[in-house]
Amino acid sequence: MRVISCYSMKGGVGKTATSVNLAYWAAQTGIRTLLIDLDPQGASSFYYRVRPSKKKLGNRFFKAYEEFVGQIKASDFANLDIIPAHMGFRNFDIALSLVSKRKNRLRKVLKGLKKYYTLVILDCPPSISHLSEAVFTASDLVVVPVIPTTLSERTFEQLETFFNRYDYDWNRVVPFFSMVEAKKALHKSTMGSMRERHQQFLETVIPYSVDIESMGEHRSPVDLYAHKRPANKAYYRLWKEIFARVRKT
Amino acid sequence: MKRFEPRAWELTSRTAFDQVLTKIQKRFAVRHQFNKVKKVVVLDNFDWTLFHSGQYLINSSPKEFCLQTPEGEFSLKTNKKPPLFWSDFEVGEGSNRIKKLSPLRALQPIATVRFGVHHYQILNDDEKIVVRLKLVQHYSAETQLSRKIIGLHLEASSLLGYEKEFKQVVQSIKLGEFNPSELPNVSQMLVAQGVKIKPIKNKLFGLTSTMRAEMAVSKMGLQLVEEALEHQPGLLDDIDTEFLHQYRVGFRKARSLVSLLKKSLSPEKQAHLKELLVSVFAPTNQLRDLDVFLLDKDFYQGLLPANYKSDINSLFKRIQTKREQAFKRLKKKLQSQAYRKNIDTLIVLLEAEPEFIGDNASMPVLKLAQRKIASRYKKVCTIGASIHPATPDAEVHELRIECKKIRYLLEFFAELFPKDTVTKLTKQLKALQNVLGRFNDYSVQQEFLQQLADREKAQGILGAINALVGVLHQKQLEARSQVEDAFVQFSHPATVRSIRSLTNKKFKGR
Repeated sequence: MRVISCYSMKGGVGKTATSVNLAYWAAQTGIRTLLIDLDPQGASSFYYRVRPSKKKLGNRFFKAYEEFVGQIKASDFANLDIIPAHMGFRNFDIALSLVSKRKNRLRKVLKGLKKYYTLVILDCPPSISHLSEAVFTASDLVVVPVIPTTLSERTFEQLETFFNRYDYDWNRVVPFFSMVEAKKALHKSTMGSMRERHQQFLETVIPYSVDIESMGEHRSPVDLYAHKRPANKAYYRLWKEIFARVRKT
Repeated sequence: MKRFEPRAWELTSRTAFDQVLTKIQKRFAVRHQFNKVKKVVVLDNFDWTLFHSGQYLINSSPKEFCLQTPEGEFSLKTNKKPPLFWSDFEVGEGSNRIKKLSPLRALQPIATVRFGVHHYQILNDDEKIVVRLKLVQHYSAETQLSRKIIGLHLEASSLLGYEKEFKQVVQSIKLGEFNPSELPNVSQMLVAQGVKIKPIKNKLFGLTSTMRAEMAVSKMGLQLVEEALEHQPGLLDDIDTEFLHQYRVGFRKARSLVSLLKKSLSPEKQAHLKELLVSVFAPTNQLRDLDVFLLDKDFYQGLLPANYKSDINSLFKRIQTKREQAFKRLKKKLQSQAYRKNIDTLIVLLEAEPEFIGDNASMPVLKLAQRKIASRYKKVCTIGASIHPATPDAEVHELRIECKKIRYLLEFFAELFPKDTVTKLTKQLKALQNVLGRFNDYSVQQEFLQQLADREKAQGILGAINALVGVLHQKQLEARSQVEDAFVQFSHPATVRSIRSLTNKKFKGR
């Protein structure tokens, strides 16, 4: 079993759209996939039309594996299950701050799922916190969408500093350019300079696209309503590239 | 993870299902999808080996095949059209399974199944699927106009995390009071369609221990000839090599039966039958020899170093051509007036009322079988005991033939004896026969190649033939050196005990 997290310190960079479409393509490839929506806003759960179960979820979340498994719901697609976002997820940080060896907690809980799934995708909330650290420890790859702007560039470099300071493996970080507008000169030049400094950027670029924006309206992965559109093809290529990388881990 | 198993029912009518659907629609939205009527061709070999092992090879669109097994479905791809061999499919679990069950036999269409599948997605307020329903309509085999629904099944599948909704839907279905039943598999669909299922080959003759010998021999002979003739159409169409092989097995056994139990028939009848059986059997020899050689291509290629490869390939091409010629000759023979007349006479003779003229004609068949097995066994022991490293090959061959005779006798009369004893004895005999068989095969193969060499002019091919003969000769010597040991194993006291209990006769051990 491999764990891929979609992570960014910044919000609104296309993180959820990436999680949703990557999970979809993984499942379509025949890989048994679990998408965990860790973002309390629950956008990826919303896209898959899955609501959290009403069962209360307390501080015990990371202690009880059974409770975790009890949250799993089937999506409408073969090979794809989902753990929907839960308002209780707000308390992750508190929960994690209370337990010892917190960085390893998530990793341990996920380990129990390997008899059911080959791939787990984590859709993370935009912040840097105890939860993010648990995510970094648990992930084989940390996929980071980056909008090619000055501000995003700064954020990405802050992440690098953080990884170095706390001794996380920077090689596991796989950035790619997201919401790219080919006409913008700034986007172009930023991409060029960032690619030079950070060799690990993926080839695939996800364009800024109405088709991705309208995911909320359709409540489904892009492939279902915009099969032939460039945005859909870009997500498929992104999946293929990430799949090739995750196999090597 | 707690998952609910799918539930399925046999429905009484489409109307009954519509009523159920109305009930479900009071609570949930329903999305409907109908896949048009599917025509599916079921393939199997002549013996329906896949079918009888609970596996079904299905062809639903050109080039796309699927092997349904109790362990799951395996998709298979090929560019060829039936008849298909396992090796015609892309390598994978599916083709491996077929190889195990049907290593030599070709697969051909055995029946067609027509069914329509309706998918119903049961949705909640978010338009999320919470339950899936599958309605399978099985149609009769007639043409479109007169086609009838002959089976209607409904299956409900749960989705993880939506167990409550599943229970609610099942509750609504249960109001229809349908019989719980699994979705029909291919076998059930064929039965429902009235397809005649090919039975598993019956090895019994229906003998009783007191049946008089002539009657028993005629009955058995007739069955063997009929079994052989079942393979004739497939042989004429040249579908696979097993048709000729099984055709020969039947006739060879019939011939052995008539010779081994000679005196159960009148001398005239026996001689006539023997002559007819030989006349039918003999013309098939050449084709079978060529088939066997071609089937063993990998074996021969493995005997020689890689630099012989192209010469071996040329040799096989040559043999393939010879094979096509031999097939044409045999086909002509099988379609001739003379052949048909021979077969008719053969059947008339075997079906004729017993004359009870032969010396043993009236003897109870069990007694005769015991006597025959005992005397053959004695003969095997006499020859076997005299074999030493310098014994001429001819005597080793004689031992092989005597062993074969006991083996046939055990097979013919198995149903008259305790199964365990026959199985045990057959196993002991088989070990010896394997060694003798190898010894003989290597000798036959050398002879076969030698004949080719006599008429071969291409130096390369001649080289390959000579090299093969050399290797086969070594192998034959090796097998020869194992004969004595194998015989000692066979004449073990356990074998003597088995024979004694079978025949009620006393024998000296080794």
